[in-house]
Amino acid sequence: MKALAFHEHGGLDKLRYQDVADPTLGVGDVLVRVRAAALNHLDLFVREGLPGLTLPMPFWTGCDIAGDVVQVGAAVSDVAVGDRVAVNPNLSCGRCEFCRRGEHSLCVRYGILGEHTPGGLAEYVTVDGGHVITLPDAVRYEDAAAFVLVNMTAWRMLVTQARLSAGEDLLVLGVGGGVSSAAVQIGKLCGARVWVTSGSDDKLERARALGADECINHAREDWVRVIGRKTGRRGMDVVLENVGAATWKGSIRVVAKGGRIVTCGATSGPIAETDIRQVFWKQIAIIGSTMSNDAEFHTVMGQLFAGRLRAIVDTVMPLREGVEAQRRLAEGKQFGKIVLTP
Amino acid sequence: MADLYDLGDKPPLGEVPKRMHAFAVRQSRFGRPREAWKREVLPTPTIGPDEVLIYVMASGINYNNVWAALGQPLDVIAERQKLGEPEDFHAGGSDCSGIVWATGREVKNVKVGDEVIVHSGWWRPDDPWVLSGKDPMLAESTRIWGYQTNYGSYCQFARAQAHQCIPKPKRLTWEAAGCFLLCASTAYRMLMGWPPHTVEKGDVVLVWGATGGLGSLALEIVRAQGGRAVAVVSDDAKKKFCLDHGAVGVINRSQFDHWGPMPDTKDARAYGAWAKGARAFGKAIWDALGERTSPRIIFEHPGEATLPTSEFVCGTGGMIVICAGTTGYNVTLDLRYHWMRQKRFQGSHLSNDEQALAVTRLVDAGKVDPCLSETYAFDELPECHQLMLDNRHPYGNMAVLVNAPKAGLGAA
Repeated sequence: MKALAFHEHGGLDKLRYQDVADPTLGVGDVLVRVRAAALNHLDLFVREGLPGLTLPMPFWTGCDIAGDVVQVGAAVSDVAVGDRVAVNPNLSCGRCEFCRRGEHSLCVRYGILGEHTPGGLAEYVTVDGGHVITLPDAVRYEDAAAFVLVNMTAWRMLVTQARLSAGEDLLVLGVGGGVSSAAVQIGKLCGARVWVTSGSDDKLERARALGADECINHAREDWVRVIGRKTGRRGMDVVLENVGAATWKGSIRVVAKGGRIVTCGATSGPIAETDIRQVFWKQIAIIGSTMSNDAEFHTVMGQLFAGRLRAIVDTVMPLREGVEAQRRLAEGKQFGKIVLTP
Repeated sequence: MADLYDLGDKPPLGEVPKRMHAFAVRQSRFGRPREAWKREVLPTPTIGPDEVLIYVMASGINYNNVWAALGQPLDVIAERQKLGEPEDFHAGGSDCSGIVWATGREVKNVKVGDEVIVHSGWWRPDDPWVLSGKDPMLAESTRIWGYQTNYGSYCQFARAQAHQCIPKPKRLTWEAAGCFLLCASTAYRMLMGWPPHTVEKGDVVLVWGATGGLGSLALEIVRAQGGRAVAVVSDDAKKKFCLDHGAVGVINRSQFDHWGPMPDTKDARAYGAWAKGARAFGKAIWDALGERTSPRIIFEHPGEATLPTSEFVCGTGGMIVICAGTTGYNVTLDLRYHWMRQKRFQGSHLSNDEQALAVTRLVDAGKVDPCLSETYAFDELPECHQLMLDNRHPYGNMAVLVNAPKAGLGAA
């Protein structure tokens, strides 16, 4: 089959659209013919190489996958050939204390399909039979693929970790990113007033179209002051922080008493200078979050299927043009997801 | 009725003399607690409709009134004057046992003659946040009673809001009842107030500074909730105290030297040395427990010196909860530990009425010891604060007698 593979870690020049061996099928697996696979920054990080991550070469990434089931392992009973599905990319052991509690993204052997095993930037992918979810006819492959990872992540961050509730104020920093734009919609679904920042008026307009209530261009205005002024100095109940070092002090300042800062990454660096007096006087929580458990995956997919959340697709490109697609993501030109179709 | 009564000399129940004995700090005396705290005769305060006057039997001693003596980090007298309060002195004290002596016209939960203890969560009754029914400890008007407010428990008659009063545990003496609630309620909110990270049966909890007032109550509460506390101390002589108060294991932190800020991760040598120390400390926790389980909750108050280590050794999905920074406030968090192991760093401050009541019930039931260390005479109050500043105070919580004529009275 064809895959967008690399034989060694490095830049875009390492990617080859080439023939690779067809995947093999275990008794508990299903073989999915990939119809759409969305890109994430994870694809770039894995291609460039991550400390401690040793992969068999050639390797290909891709953790946001939708497609058709074309073969079913002998032990799989509830999935049939021909099913249209999306894939839950969690790889968890099912046996550790966290898996037994249903907290799959805390699994001691946790991995992600497309990071730790070959992924969806290929014509076919093998998936655990319990990790596919059937798509309603009305949901397109491109939308399903674009939706999965960022929404499962943002859902866990806001609903489970930060316990965002109706009437609260949510701040989403840097609204161009996939998790951030998903968070705008989830914030509205929770009944929150959603504030967003970006350095681009165009991205702020896109966020407003998704329901953002207050848009701040941080290139022109001091977002910390604007929020202080407009909230009578009370601040934000929840801050979704993916920027890190560059915005951290501001986030600590704008979060309200009893507020929560929830973080799943840091585009400007993970080292966060913190005045802990702000933490205990204001009684705030700083919460780290990664992906989601399987229950959260199913819940958030249900919101897509019911039309309460929607996928945000920037562009759809053929898999053979994957180098261009990854370049577009690396340059941060997109709003929403870049989807590849084999 | 006289204008002024000696300590221990009771006026007729419900009658309030014009003046009273108290310990106070004045701005001209800011400095070492031994000199800053002076005994004075002050006008007895009047009370508002939602307030009560308490005839104080015994008072606890807390670190906040060391700060009040120093005038740093906050000049509490100037702060109150900015808000329109005229007094030019601070008559503090944030923990007490006593008898309700007068009540405001709107007070319903206590009556004159009731024996009570007082928790230190104070807020404006007309604060819109409080009126909306949300946790009052998150309200803008929240203050620490007897630190940010005047006429605390170092007065013969203390002024408090009626909601702060909790029935005194009958089994305790005045001094045992008066010494523990600020630390106990703070520790209780930290350990039980931040779901889903509340202490459950079998949970491992790491407790820093375990022989202090706060730490010792944390050990007691963890045991009462069925958790397993690992205590951290700075001296082997403190180990027995921790084991007696509920710890399942004790670590002497003077055996490690990686404390303080985490080095830059790009400085491989310095970071490597730090990580080696932090890992060894993590192993010491397992050794203390006798199994390889990392803490689900870390009870923090040193701050700057220990927090990077706390972040490192906290178990997957666990919480570091903090209420103070006794070694400093500037901390470098490495957010990668937070994402990858989904950890939570939670701030906490004092407690609300419900939490203060809950922990008092545990004390009343004999499940939590108030950790009374020593009982002192009223006139030894400045020295108690000096001991605290010099870090020479006895393990647990100190008490001073106010109107109680001697130690050992008041228990049913």
